[in-house]
Amino acid sequence: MALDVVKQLIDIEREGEDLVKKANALAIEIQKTAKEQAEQIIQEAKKKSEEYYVSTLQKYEEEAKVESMPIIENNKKEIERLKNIPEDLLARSVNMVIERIVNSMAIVKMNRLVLAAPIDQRDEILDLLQEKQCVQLIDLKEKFQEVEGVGFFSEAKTLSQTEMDYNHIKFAYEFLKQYDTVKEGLFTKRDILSKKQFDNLESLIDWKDIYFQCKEIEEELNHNKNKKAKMVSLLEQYGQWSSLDVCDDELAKLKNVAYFIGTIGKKYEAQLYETLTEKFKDIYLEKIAEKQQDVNIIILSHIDNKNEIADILKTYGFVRISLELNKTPVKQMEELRLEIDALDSEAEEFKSRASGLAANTKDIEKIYDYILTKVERERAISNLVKTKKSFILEGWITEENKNKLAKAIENRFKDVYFSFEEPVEDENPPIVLKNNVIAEPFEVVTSMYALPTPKEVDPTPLLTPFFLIFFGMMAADIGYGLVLFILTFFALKKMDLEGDLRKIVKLVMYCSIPTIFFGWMYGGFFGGIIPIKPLWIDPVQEPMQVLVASIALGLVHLYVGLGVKAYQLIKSGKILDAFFDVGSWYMLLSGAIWMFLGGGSAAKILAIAGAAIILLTAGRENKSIVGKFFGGVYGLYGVTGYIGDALSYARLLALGLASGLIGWSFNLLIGLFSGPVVYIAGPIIFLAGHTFNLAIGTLGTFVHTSRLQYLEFFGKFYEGGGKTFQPLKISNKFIKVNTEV
Amino acid sequence: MDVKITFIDFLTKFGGPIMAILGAALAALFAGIGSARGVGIVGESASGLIAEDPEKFGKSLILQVLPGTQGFYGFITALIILQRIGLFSGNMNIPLEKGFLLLAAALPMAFVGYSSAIAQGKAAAAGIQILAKKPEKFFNGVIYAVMVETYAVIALITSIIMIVKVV
Repeated sequence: MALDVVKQLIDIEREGEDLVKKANALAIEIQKTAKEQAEQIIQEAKKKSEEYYVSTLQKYEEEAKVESMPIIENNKKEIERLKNIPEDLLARSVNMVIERIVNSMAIVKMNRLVLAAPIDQRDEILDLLQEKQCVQLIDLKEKFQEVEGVGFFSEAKTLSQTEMDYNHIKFAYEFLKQYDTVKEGLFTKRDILSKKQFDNLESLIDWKDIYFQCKEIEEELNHNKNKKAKMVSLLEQYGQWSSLDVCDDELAKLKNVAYFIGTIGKKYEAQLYETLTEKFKDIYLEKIAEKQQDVNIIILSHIDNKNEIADILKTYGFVRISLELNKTPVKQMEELRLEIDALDSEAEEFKSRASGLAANTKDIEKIYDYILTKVERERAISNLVKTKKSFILEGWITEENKNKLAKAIENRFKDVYFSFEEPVEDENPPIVLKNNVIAEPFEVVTSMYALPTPKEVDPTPLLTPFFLIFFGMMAADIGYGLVLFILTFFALKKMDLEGDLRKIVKLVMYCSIPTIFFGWMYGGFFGGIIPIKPLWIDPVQEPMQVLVASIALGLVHLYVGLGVKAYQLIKSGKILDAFFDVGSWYMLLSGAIWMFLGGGSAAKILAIAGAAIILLTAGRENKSIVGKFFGGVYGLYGVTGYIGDALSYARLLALGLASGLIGWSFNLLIGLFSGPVVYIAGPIIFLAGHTFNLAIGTLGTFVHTSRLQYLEFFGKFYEGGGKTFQPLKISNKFIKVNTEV
Repeated sequence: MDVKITFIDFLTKFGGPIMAILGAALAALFAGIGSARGVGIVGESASGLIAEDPEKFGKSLILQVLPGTQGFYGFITALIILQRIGLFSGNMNIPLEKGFLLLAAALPMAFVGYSSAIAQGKAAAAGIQILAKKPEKFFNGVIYAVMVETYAVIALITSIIMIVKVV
């Protein structure tokens, strides 16, 4: 049993061992497969991850490539650009320098301001433009004539009201000026007001009241004057009857007596007396007075003879007295005199009232500017156009003021559209010149002739050095130069000068320096009152040398003028024309001068070549051959013009001589006195004479110097015809408004 | 006892200064007369303008003085002659032929001065019209008048050069 058990146990054990073996084998197998599987999985994962890695990498690479392409391209360009920068910089700086030079001697660039805003802001915006004083309005009426939905402002009513105000204030000003005892000196400067003060002027000053008072006084004075005139003429008329000692009252008492008082022609007097005394016995004749052709008489007679006598008198042209005779003439005259006295004292009273009012002149002057400013602003409205709710404005503004104005508009307004545009090709914007400190005053010389058109060169900086030299040569006196310098220097410092006047004074100040210089060269001091050894030459002793120098200078002047013409032609691309019209003249003139100075055949060839070019090309614009030929001949004939031009510079000598010699003659005059008289007459003649010579001489010099610029110089290249820039601004006749703040 | 002087003697003795002074006198005379007339012409037409527009006085005065320069040129010519012949130093010693030369030298200034001053006066008087109607173009009127002056200037130079070269 046990065996069974043992056997069973052995079997079980064996079975167990087998199982263990099997399990072991299985475990091993499982282990093996798990390993294999894991390896496989790992393998697969590895593979997958590798694949993924590659693909993403590829993807990224591609993306990166796409993205970097433009950057690379850019970089390439940048590198190229950087390579070119040095050349570019050079070109640009050259351009900038040229621009600087051109700008400093030139016409300021203009822009067109276009502005649109709600209609209720119109007046404020105009006020702002007026305050900034930098915009010249353009009349838009014509441009918008045909556009639908666009209207124009027709503010005839308010304008006429303001203009009436202007007339009133003008009247008040002129009226008060007569009675104003405070005389303005040369050195009185204008009051400076802020814009705010200026805007409040009308509320502070009751100018209408002053105006009405002025008006009243004026009317009263006129009334008074008329009345007085009437009285005076009556007085005169009674004066002719002063020996008549009867009056109406007494005559009326006579019942049976007829009387005739009146005037008769002198030539009938005797005849009348004769006729009357012959015909009537009881007649009284009295001659009251005689005046030129007339005789005043009184006739008394019996009343029965009245008609007869009247008839006789009529035939002799008797005219009854027209004056009233309720008192005797003498008495009448007395009364009239009293009345005249009363009128006089009344007039005095009015005048003293006016003088009292004249204390307000300063206020009235301020209001004058205020109202004139208002009138200008209202006149400007007619330049604008409007739609239903907004208005449009266009105006010229200089480029440099553009930003200033833009800022001002943005600061003050919200709903305003504005833009700046460059002028179109053939537009003709107004001209503002801008030059450096030295050339600036000479703009006056240019603008007196004509402002340049936008396409031309501003000739101001070109004429400046010549103007200085020519002025100096013509005035040429150390003393006069010093006086001019001191006078103009103080005028600039002390006087309230503005605009062109200031420029002229400055110009004279600049010109006084070459005047002193040439005075030294010529040895002139107040016409030689103190002998000074000339640095160069005494023009009276050696006029020929000065003449040659003058003409040489003139030729330089002409050459520069021609050069500018060439520059203008080349600038507009007409290089050939520059050669034909300028180069040829350079050749001819230079050749001729060279020949004159003793140049041999080379000079001759140069001159002839120049002449030939002129002859062949001057008529090139003409169509027909004949026209071309005569055009050439005419062109060559222009050489006479050059001779005339060159000789014209002889005035440099002549006026230099004249200014010196006139001064000299006054000194001579002083020298003619002898004894103590010279101490009295001398200073008077010196002062009066030299003041006169300085005034006339400076005027003459200025005019002749300008003439040389206008005819000889401008004639070569300059036409002009630009319009002046006239911005909307605040009237500044009596006050200045400070608009900077 | 009387010393007989023939005309020829007189001429040789005093003729030089006489002729020279005659020249000086002619230059001052004619140029002066011309300027007086020229200035007068402008003054007349300027008065009409001033009656209407008194503010233009200053500018009209500029036009008026323009024809006045010829008188001065004549005066200068005369003075140079007088100085050259020694009138001021009191030692007038100049031979007859030089006297004649100086007389001839004074002629350009005398004649041109006379007629150019009148012509300039007329041009300046017309300039007054410009001043009246287009005051901004006033300076053009001045230029027109100054154009005439060129010839007076040339005459002055001619006279002076001749005088200076003679004595």
